[in-house]
Amino acid sequence: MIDLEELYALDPGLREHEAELLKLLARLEKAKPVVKADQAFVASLRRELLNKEVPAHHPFINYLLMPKPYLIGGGVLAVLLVALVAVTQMQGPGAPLAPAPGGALDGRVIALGPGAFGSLSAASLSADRAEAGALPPMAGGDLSVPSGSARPQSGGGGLMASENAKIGLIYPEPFQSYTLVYDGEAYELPAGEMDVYRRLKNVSGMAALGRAVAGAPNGVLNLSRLGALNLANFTVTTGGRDGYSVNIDLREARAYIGPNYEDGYIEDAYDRTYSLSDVPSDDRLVASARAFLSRFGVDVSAYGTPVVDRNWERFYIMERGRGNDAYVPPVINVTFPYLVGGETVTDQGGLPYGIGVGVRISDLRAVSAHNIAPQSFERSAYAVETDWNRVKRIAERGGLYGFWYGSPEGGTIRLGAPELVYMFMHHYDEAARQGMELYVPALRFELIDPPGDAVYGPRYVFVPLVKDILDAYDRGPDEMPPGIPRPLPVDLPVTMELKDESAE
Amino acid sequence: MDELELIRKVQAGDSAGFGPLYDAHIETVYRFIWYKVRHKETAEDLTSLAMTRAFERIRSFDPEKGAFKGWLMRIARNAIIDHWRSRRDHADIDDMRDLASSSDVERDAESARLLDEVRDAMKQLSEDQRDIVMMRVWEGLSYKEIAEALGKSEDACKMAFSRAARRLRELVPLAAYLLLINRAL
Repeated sequence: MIDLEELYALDPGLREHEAELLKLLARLEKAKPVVKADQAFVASLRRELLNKEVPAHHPFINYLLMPKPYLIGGGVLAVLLVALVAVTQMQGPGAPLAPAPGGALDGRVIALGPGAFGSLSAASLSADRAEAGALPPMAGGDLSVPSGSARPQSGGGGLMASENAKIGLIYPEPFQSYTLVYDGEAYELPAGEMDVYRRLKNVSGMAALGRAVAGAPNGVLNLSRLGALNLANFTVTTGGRDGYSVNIDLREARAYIGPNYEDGYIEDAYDRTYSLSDVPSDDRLVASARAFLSRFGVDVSAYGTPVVDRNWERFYIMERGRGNDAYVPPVINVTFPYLVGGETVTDQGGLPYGIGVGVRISDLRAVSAHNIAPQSFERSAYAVETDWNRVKRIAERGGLYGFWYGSPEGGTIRLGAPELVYMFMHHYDEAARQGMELYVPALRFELIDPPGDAVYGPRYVFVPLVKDILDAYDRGPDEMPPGIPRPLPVDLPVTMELKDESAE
Repeated sequence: MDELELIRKVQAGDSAGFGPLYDAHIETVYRFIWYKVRHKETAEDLTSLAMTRAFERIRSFDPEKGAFKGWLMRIARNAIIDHWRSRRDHADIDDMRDLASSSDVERDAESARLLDEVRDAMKQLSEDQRDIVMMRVWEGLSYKEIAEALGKSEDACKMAFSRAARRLRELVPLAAYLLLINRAL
């Protein structure tokens, strides 16, 4: 029997016909049409299906490269098949995109002699400072500050004091940098050496793919005239609005999966605003991300505990506390962090570094995955710092990337107890002309309750323990690159209105 | 064994697990396809195609993304769309009276009369609205399952059904409207 209230909720105008409704309902129940499949057909189809084997599951690369006869001609098919071979060789024969079974990373880590990656004190390491965004931009100025510059006085305002520094801005007075203080117990530093890890980019198919591409007709130019080719990068798509676009970077041995925008996928997650109650639990977000990766055959069983990005939440709470509207992201990232040396790898911001999966909070649909890379490493021992006081001093100076926040009154920010992490660093070896993805041991200190604008700054300071790296960044008490105070908002300067000379 | 366990069994390679899944959903799939194509043999062909695709792709089904029934209905709907594209004609609900059952004449006549009354009204809905009404009214799918089948959000499906129902209410006599709504709730 129909629940009439549900009917009225759907169409309130029916309420006035209730008496008639009750009479009709019983009769209508008897008048329902019936459509039924032919039972011989049903039984025959059932037999046919149950006699089949369930098709085998394909790793995501194989799935995406599965040729569709009505779309792909012979030449292109050859390219795809060679790509398939090259990509599987990228990880080792028959290996999925995951560490060795059983969670043991040892089988995927090649031990090299000490210092095998060369000196890590190369000047290019300093490029990470700018990339990390540690130094805030100077309006109208240049960020470059040569080493050896004296640290300018803070709080005095006026022009920057270093004679070698380029002058970019006149800062309003007053300004005091925040002082970082660690007053906890000394951390017991490891003695001697620790392993630095380098991710292997073991791509073997680039030349073979290049030959296949050269031979495949493309209707634009004759690639075979270019000689030996290496295929460095390619993208494949599955058709339809709900298909995928997958980019394989063979140089970096890394893959990205995303929606197929070319065929009409529209990301409508950003068409509305969300509240905190719209955000699913971490368990559900992780489950969605895990299922998405599993669908493509990416095995994360030996990665670290997945971490849901909740970094936005502290700003949400802060803004709501002020009575303001606050932002809830429509897509939340779930990271499956790499593990090296038994430790979680973090990025330069202190967040876990690994495979990231974007999950829409509106419907828990995972839409993309980035940083999918084989977990094969080389490791080499490097000398580490054993002087706790040096480590503490560098931490209180802002660590690897510095800390450049302050206020008119200045103040003190306490640093939390350090923890040992493996930090991702990109290093370019000039001699070998090769970029490396390194994971180096470091101490990470969290900033406790940063005040004012500093809350928008870095959450952590890092002190790498490898002496080579520390030496490159710390050239003595007076040789850390000087702090560049952030300009504070001031009243707009007085401007002179242009005189309209045509009126005269 | 519940549905999820059966699905996992099939995904692990045991095709026998597909039997109960098939039994649970074959009639729903067939009826939906029949309502759209109005032809017994075509409905059987497309049902066969849809169920075969479901079997072959079952490893790609992700229970985190929605219900199995909704996923299945989506495959069925796509099979219908492919059929129309290949034939370049569109099914209409012109004749919904090709009843295969052996129900008594009086009941069939009553249903046929009522269906006649809704027929023209349903033509004035969009195809998505018609599909939503058919899936909700005739097959009793939940909005969640319909959303999965159509690739839309649950809220969008509810809104579409509500609009379709209001439109039908304007166009169809009360008795026929109640026939539809009775099956929708």
